[in-house]
Amino acid sequence: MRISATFATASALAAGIALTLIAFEAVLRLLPVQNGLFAADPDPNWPVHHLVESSPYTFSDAWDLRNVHHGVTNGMGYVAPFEYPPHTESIAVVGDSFVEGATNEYRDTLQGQLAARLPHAPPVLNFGTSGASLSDYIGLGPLVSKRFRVQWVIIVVVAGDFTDAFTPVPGFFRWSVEQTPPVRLVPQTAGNPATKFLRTLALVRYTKGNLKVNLGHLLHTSVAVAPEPCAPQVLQPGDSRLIESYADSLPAAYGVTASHVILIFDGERHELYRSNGASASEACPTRDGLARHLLATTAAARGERVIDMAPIFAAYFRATHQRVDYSPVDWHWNVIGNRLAASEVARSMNSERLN
Amino acid sequence: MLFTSGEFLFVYLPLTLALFFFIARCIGNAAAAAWLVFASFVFYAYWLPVYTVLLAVSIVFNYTLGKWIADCGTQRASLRRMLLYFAVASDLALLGYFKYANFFLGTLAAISGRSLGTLNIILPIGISFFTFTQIAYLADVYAGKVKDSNPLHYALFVTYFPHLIAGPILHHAEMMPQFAQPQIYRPRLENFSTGFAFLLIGLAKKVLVADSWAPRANDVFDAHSGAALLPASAWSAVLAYTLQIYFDFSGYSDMAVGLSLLIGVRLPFNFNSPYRATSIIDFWRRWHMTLSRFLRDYLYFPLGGNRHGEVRRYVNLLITMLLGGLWHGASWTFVVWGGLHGAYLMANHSWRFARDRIARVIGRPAPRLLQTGGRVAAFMLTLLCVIVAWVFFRAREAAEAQRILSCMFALSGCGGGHGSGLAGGIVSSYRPAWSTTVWLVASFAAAIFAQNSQQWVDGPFADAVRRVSSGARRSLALGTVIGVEVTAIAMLALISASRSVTEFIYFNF
Repeated sequence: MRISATFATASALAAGIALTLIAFEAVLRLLPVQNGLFAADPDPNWPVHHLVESSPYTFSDAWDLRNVHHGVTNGMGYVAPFEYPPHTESIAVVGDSFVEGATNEYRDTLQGQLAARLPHAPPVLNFGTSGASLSDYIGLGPLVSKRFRVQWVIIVVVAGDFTDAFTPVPGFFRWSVEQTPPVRLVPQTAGNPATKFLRTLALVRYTKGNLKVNLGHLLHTSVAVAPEPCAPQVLQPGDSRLIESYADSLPAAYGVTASHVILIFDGERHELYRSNGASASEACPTRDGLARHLLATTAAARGERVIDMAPIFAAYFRATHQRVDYSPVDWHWNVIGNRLAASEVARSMNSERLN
Repeated sequence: MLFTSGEFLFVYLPLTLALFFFIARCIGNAAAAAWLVFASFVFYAYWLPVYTVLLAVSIVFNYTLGKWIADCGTQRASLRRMLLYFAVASDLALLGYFKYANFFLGTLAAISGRSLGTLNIILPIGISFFTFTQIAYLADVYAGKVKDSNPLHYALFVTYFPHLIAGPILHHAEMMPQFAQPQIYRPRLENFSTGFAFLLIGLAKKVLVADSWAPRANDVFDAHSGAALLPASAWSAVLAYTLQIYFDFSGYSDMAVGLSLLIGVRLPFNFNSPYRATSIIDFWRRWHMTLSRFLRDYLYFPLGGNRHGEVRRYVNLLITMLLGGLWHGASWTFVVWGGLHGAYLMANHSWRFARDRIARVIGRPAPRLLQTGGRVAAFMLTLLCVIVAWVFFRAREAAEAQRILSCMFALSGCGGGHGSGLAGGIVSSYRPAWSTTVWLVASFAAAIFAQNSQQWVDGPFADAVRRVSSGARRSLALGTVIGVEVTAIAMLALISASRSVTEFIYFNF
């Protein structure tokens, strides 16, 4: 009798869980949860991570599905509403999710706004990939320059781009100091059938895409006892050599002159908003921040163009009190951030034409 | 450990409950109670292990002193009184050192004009709560009101994890007898279904409402003091905070009640739709009710209450509220907040006194329309007073609170800057102003007009549970309900984990 009651309770519990999950799945299928932005299987012709080709997608963010955008990836698996004509002159825009462009309408992205500002220039092609880092920005060069006649390359560098490149991820490049350029591709692997099935479930897409929750994250929250004291970091041995090699190799990787490489450095915005634009205290030095700073100075010394967005964002925020991103939920640039960056890039490119 | 965190909901809670019932069944109730004390210490240690020593010492000290006071009997009255004073003074000294030392140093430095520096002290989480519950215990031992002196039950009463960090402030007389009841040591599906219902509502209040309003309040209150501010931005932030603190703290309290119910132990309710109050007296009967009860029984009444005339009553009210304000935090803003509420209460009592006299003179009740209009006006005035006081509660400095208030009422203090409507301040990239306004109105409507958690869970939900419990398919029905609740709780935990850690506001007190 007791066993049957326990069994009935356990069965009912499982049924309750299953029913609720089914209800969540049904509701989420009606809502614009993230969808369609899936990694494509390995392609020997384009052996780096890219999205499933010609796939409709929906982007939305956070638990309450804000910032919804719909679109279609192009035939190369990048977020762009047009195909990239091979062997034509082009302007390549490279970066991570800041450039990938799913967080904005295409016309509001850096590449979209840049194309609008340069009506007589070659097409602006987006090679942004979520999760990419500095190593990918240069590793992509030979592939892109082999397929397109690159006139300019525009690279968006954001926090974490240097140190993230030490982590091997299939389909992405990682640092390899003994090579030129100093990167090596980690071979891509095909997604297994279970993963492909799971990503068809709205509940899974919501949890991974909108909530961005993983098990480690879920089981590791803690209450801050006191503010973390600043523990200044320094560059590690070999970092400077890596950066110098990077700056040296970048033009050749894309087959352009140094003056046709534009590096855009994202600006720190947490403190800007916290202080409401009144002041900005010195950030605690990190290895990544130092490396990016070294890259900016080294690249500038090599004749590459460097744009620092920090003072531009700060000036804009002080003047308008408008954020240049979707923070505090999402720190990707919004239409304003991209507009400010596109204006600076266009000004830099036009300055050469005028000269 | 936060109630909203994955490690609490998915690891700590299932393990604690499972072992509690297992030990009770295999070894005995006392061992299960001991396990719960141990588990509560683990819960506390997760934040900062070293302070478990402080908690343990505080428990041993207060229990021992309580025993000595009880053992003195009525013959040695002066010794009993001295022991009580010593114990209470020691508790207050401990609280004073950890919570108020830097406040006093800062105040002294401001008065003397000399820099006195600050002490490097980390405030032990929940110290105000576990100190006050133990002071109440000592006072009741002294008054001869304590019946149960079982040390294990005492330790469990103080450390009991559902209330340890942010209350409700428990009274030993309502808790210790429950720990002696054998039925709490047996798992019951009815307790699980009701407990999870409270936990679910509390989580939803915290995760979906309070945490959603927090950034809007933070944008203005955490901004640099030189930042520009518009009246709409100031109102937006203050209304957001008004919602945040209610849904945050009442959500926490619901979770505490629900977690305790899983074991079958009833905690007192802390909130009863406070923003529905039609007077400040009414507000304090609905807001943080266990603190109101504590302040009334252990501060206002000992001060004399209303037994020595109207003037003394007002003075006692003011002292009680000022100290109640200071209990919340070591800052003059909390003192001002308490003082404001003390003044509100004085005005409220004066008004009642005058109103009753006028009514006696007129000799007949006011027309119904006037009565209804009066209630609406009283409700709106009460809410406005509460909202104004929250500005001091949330602001880091009194000057900042004054600036925000001046800006709200367009007196002065507003700078330039941009922004529009209720989406003012730092301009959001997401939503138009109208959607924020709609969400704001909906949140207030829920706080004011909707059934509160205890009305719903103890009302229609409990009726439904009772109905299915008496039926033949009890296990099936309750099991399904629990399955639904657990899954919804897990989903809310995932949503909570998707944000940066947001502590409960009352963790700081």
